[in-house]
Amino acid sequence: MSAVISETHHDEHPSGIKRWLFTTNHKDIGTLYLLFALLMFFVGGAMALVIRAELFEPGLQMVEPQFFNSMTTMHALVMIFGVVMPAFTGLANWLIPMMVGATDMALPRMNNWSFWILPFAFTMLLSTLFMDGGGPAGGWTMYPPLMLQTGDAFPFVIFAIHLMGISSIMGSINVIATILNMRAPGMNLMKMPLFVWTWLITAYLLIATMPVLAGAVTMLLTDKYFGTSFFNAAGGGDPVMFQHIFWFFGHPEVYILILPAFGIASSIIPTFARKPLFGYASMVYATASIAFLSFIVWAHHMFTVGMPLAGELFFMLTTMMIAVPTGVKVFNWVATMWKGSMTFETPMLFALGFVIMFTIGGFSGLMLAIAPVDFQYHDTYFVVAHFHYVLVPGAVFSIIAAVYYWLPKWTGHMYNETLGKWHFWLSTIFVNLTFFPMHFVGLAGMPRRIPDYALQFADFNAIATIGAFGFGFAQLLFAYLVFQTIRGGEKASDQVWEGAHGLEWTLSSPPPYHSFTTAPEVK
Amino acid sequence: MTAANEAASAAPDRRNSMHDADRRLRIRITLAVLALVAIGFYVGFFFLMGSR
Repeated sequence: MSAVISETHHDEHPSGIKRWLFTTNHKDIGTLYLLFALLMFFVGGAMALVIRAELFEPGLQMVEPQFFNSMTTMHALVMIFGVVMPAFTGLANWLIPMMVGATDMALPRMNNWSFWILPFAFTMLLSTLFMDGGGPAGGWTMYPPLMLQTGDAFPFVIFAIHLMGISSIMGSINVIATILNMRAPGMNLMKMPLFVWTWLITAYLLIATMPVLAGAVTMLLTDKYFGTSFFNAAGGGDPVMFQHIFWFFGHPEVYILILPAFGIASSIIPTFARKPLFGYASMVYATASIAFLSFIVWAHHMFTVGMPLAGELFFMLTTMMIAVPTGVKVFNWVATMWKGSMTFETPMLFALGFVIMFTIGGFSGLMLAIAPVDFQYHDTYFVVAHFHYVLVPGAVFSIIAAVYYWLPKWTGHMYNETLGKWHFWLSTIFVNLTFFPMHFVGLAGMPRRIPDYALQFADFNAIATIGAFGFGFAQLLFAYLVFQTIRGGEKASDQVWEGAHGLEWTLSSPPPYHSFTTAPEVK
Repeated sequence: MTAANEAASAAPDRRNSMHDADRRLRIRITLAVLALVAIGFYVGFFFLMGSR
């Protein structure tokens, strides 16, 4: 009887603000994560536009150098921890229970907590811009001793990072607990959609690396306030050790930001090629290989600190080895499309843009992996071009593709396909206009994180700034499209896409509040 | 046992309950193990770095 009572108790859900504050429903929490990520996308984007406005022409004209450095630091922290990670967690919340045939996430109350920590963390982080000494300006990598010169903002930044880490760890535990314990009968691991697989592996990466970041920033905190000398050479510490610890977190973090994108591409491409994914098992093994390798490549971020030749060779070769499983993935996506009955709706366009432009970012990563030439590229705009290709037309495009792909399922309405295509083409043109010239100025020697530059870099920087503003305004179209679709539009069918396969498409559009109250049949 | 109950217990239970005791236990064990791993990494790194 008690089971019956507790089952029916879940059917009552409050409305208004209480619904969102106290919700334990995976769909509500997924929506909250995605809306938060969208808001932060515009906050972080505004910071990027401040940077690009200052760099439109040589000389100092818009902002003080200290504020410029704050903008580069905050832009990175906001985009990584406030946009890409929450957006992927939002997608995980919405999709994983529906994809594995569960009613909800395994730990719904912890799920609520995971989300609601984030607005506090980011309010605290953003509030540092108004404190004495300004916001953090030592770069998102927070290298000491520079980072230890931060003013009043310092402990707030450290605490905000701790909160973001706690949120991510709780979210990851929830994802793993859900995937391992809540799958429908018959849904064995090798039948799971690739998005679920990539998230399972991402969650393990997060649990292994987020505590390391927390440890590193706690050591920074004790060095500044409690007289320890972890990274203080005068007290017997070693500033380079911070770089090792930071990048032991930082490189797996890069894959945390891209593995779920691989899962999204692996969901969308088969749908619009109307063929099953080529090489499912090899995709799973490639994802696991990338995750393993991500732990043994970290020092390629610090070739110039002066490490032994054997160390440089090791990290160079392990980094290059990542190209093998990544190449397997790109090959499989292409092979999936080979002789497929392809159509090019907006999600497919963004997924194809992802495959092509992420690969450009991957290739420039291979160039950076070559230790002797990295001495030339290190800390130049070439690095900025590289990781922005991986993160913007890579991770961000995959998130946008996912939103277009699953939005009809979530809302029950089709989005405006014409505007969606406009959004894709404007984004693609402007993203390349922004980041491609950065390769050229980087190879020519323009350093990153500097508000002024030599005259010979002026033309390419002007082009990049025009591209950045174009890209920023194109994203307003995305926000408009999303809210327009939420409010109404042509009714979406349950299947939505002719070629779509998977449990989530067997539910109604929009799906019921609790996804699978009766376990589905998995063949 | 009534006839209805007998029929219900004979048919496989396909209700996807969040309150299945076995499932709750497995979820709690997963939570405990993963939380310990996370805390272990945090504390472990401190000892590792402090012992240098």
